[in-house]
Amino acid sequence: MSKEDIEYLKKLVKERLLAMPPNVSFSIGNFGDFTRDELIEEVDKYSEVGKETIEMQINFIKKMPKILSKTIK
Amino acid sequence: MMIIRTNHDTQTNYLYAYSNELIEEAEKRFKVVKIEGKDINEKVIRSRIKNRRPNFIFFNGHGSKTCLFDNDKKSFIDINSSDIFKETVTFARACDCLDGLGKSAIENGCKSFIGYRKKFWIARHHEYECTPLRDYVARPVIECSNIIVKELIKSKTVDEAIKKSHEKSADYILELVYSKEPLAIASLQAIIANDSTLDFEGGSSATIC
Repeated sequence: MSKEDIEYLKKLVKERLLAMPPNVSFSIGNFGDFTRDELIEEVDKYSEVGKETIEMQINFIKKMPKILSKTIK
Repeated sequence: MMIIRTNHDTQTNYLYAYSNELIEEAEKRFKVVKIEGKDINEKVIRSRIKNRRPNFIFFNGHGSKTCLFDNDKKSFIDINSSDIFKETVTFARACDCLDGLGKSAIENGCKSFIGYRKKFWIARHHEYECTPLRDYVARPVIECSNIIVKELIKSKTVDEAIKKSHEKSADYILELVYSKEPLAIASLQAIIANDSTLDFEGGSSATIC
């Protein structure tokens, strides 16, 4: 993945996280517990937690159209 | 049935709290052996397995591709000791452990090993950190996983229990997609993440009865 792609994904995921209320946290296995803002920081740093968060969000974006099409049916 | 429960941080505390209802349900049908605190070590668990011969081992806590962690975050079962699951159906509600530990357990005689191929996510509301059972953001996420144990207790096969979990996830997803609750999106994301990585190794028709 190019540096531009990574920066684009980071921006996309940070915007998606920012759209959530601040009083949410995520527990991510043995990585620990993260508030919304801490996750945004991790994505920005592109740490292991940040990469996991990006993967989760991309997976979510990929799956949603299929899920919604089932709902409409 | 043997349930091994760690409880040393927020995530394990949530899993601990939500597994109480599973113990109550299981005790209606089976003798339930609970392993907690300092007893979570290989020696004690091997000894209890030898004496009680459980058909089902249910672990709640942290894991990695190759091991499960105790309350001190130290590995207490790994791919070199995965024969501990021999002749059981095992469900490890822990991150990452299906591909490495799960496969190794099956090679060493485990009937079926249910687990997650990646991280197990829990979405939470800050306000309910000390009262996990009241956390309406976390509840649907953990219930999609609890249903696996509930189905196994009802003598369903591993395959049926996993399918039921996928169905429950689908029901919650539809409910949450149309929810007006601002935090519904967090539950939704965690459910989809966990549901995509839930799977099993070994026999699909294995039961715990």
